[in-house]
Amino acid sequence: MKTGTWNEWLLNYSLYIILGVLIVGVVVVEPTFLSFYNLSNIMSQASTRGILALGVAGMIVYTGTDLSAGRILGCCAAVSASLLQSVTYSARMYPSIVDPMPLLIPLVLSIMVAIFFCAINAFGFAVLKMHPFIISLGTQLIAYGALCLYIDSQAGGAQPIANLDPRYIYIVNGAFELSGVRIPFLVLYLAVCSGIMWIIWNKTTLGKNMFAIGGNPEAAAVSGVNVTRNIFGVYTVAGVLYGIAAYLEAGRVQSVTTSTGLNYDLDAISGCVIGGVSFTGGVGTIPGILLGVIILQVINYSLYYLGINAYIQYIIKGLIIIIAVAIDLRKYINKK
Amino acid sequence: MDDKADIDERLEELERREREVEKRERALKAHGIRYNIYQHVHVSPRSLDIFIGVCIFLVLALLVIGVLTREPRL
Repeated sequence: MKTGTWNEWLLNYSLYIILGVLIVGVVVVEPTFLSFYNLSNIMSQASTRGILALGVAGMIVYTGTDLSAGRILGCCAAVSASLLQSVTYSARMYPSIVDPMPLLIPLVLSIMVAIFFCAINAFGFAVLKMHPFIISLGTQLIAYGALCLYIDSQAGGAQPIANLDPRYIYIVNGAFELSGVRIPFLVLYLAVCSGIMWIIWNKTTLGKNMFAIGGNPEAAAVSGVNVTRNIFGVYTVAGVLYGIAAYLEAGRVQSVTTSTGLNYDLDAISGCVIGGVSFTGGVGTIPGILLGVIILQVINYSLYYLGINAYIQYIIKGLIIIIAVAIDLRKYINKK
Repeated sequence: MDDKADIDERLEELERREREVEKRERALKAHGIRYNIYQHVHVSPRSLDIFIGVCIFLVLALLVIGVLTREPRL
């Protein structure tokens, strides 16, 4: 292999190699890490973050980002959970709901709330030409404020929204057997969302325009692409994904508080960057994002499994994000 | 006379094209939403490689420290 090709290969796969070595190191220290129970847990946790990351990735392809994804998820999770509390629970948020609600209604409401917040982001980005960091930072605070107000508005004051409908818990945390292997429903939901997103990204005008705008917005605009409409389209798709992720996350953790969704946006963004979605825009693949999210979740879980101090875990995660972005920058410099 | 008319016609065509180009330039400015966060970064590849190396070393060092100082699992 020529030196140039070798360097390029190393640059493209260095992050996977580093993280792979880390995982091997964890397995050496704790061989029990490779149990099926742990892998199932990792995949379940990666599912909601993966769906969130699929939404954030579209914005990164536009050279933007979304810092509000986690808080929007928290807000929508609160909406879903509050409507699907067990009707036998006396301290439920809506005592007037006496019959179990159809499971689809809270999902639709959750998606609508997420689309509302994403539309604010899209308006700021596409119409007001604000930097996505700034507009999504503002939306993050708005969503957090709304979440706190909503949780605080319960008759008994601010308390976790828990005691959820058993049907809801089952459709989220249940599993099915495939050739004797227990596969959580959450993994199935992630697979379905990924499949749909792959089709949107690769087979629709919206996806093709998204890459065209991310790669070269001037050329795309001159070619007749309606940039504003396209941005709104991608943000709407992201809103749908956030809504679904929130609905599933509320059912997964079974208790929604004001801290639900905290730092999920960073997990989603770092998963995307690890998976090869470039901040320079116009670059990214769905399989890459999934791989990035799963690798990140393996790292998160392994640090927890090793019993490493929580504060050290934060520093390691931060460093991994910095390394991912530095490698992305290194690729950009190489191309220049 | 025909030559003059031809020249006038071409001149008009050129002006029309120029107006189109100006219109497109205005449209480009209006759509100027590209925020390449790396375009103002001026760092040599070598410096960046050293930075990445230091970060990797720090991750490994923290992992070792974390494993050595961890609480025993229940």
